[in-house]
Amino acid sequence: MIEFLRIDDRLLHGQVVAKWLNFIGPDALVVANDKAANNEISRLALKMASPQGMRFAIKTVSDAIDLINNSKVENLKLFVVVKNSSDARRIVENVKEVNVVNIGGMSYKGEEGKMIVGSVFANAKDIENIKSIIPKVRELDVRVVPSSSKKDFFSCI
Amino acid sequence: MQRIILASHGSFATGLKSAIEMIVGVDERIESYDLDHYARPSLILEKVEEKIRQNSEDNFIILTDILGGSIHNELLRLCTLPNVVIASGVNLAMAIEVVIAQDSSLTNIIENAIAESKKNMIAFDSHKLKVLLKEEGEFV
Repeated sequence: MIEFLRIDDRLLHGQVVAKWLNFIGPDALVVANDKAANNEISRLALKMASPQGMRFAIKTVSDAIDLINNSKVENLKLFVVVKNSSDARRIVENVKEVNVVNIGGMSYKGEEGKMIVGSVFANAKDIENIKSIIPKVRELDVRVVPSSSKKDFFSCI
Repeated sequence: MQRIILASHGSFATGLKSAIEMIVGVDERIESYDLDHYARPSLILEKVEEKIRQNSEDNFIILTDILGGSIHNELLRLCTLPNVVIASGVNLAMAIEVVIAQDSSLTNIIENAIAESKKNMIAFDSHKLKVLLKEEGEFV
């Protein structure tokens, strides 16, 4: 099951994700991103940003969904990272259980985007995706690192 | 509160602050002092000393650009104060580590930040990439 699904458009930052992994203590880390999965150097760069000793996979979003639903993996506590709210929504809609969706970073979207907090900007599509995600998960949490205070997404819009 | 002071030659400190904030978000605890702006290291010392005086109940982690440089030499004396530590040779990884730390011991925070930041410095060339790509493995 997905213990923690993080939206971060810089994907893995070695230190930031390490902080979260210590906090959440998952069994494995899955990066779900089509572009990264299909490029061996992107995969390598991401692998190097992940902590030593942590079980790790980089998959396309479709393959990540298959992996998460695989009976061998079903009972593992997974930490999943995606780049944007659309990929997050696809995953949430196609797996059985997601505990927390965490919005860690969404870059500046230009004029059509609104700043939610610090490093999180959302456009209309993001807001629609997040609205659709919320009823399917236990908690939505806007936080860059565990020590930041939790922000409420909709009161910040 | 733990405050983070970045101080450097040129405009490195402010630049570093902008990079930190792009990654971990705006943090009001971080302040930067550029020699480009303050012109003399002694003026930066004055400003930082004043900040420490005005916020004596806070802890200060000062990060300077280079050991032996005029900024570090000028600010070093501040760590005689019990609520101040100072580290030289700051880079982005070290600064981020300090910003996201949750320890209450200042010394632990900077020692850990320095240790973590050393792991960040890796050289790559085409041979190394080939070797690393061969090692790639996944869990399923």
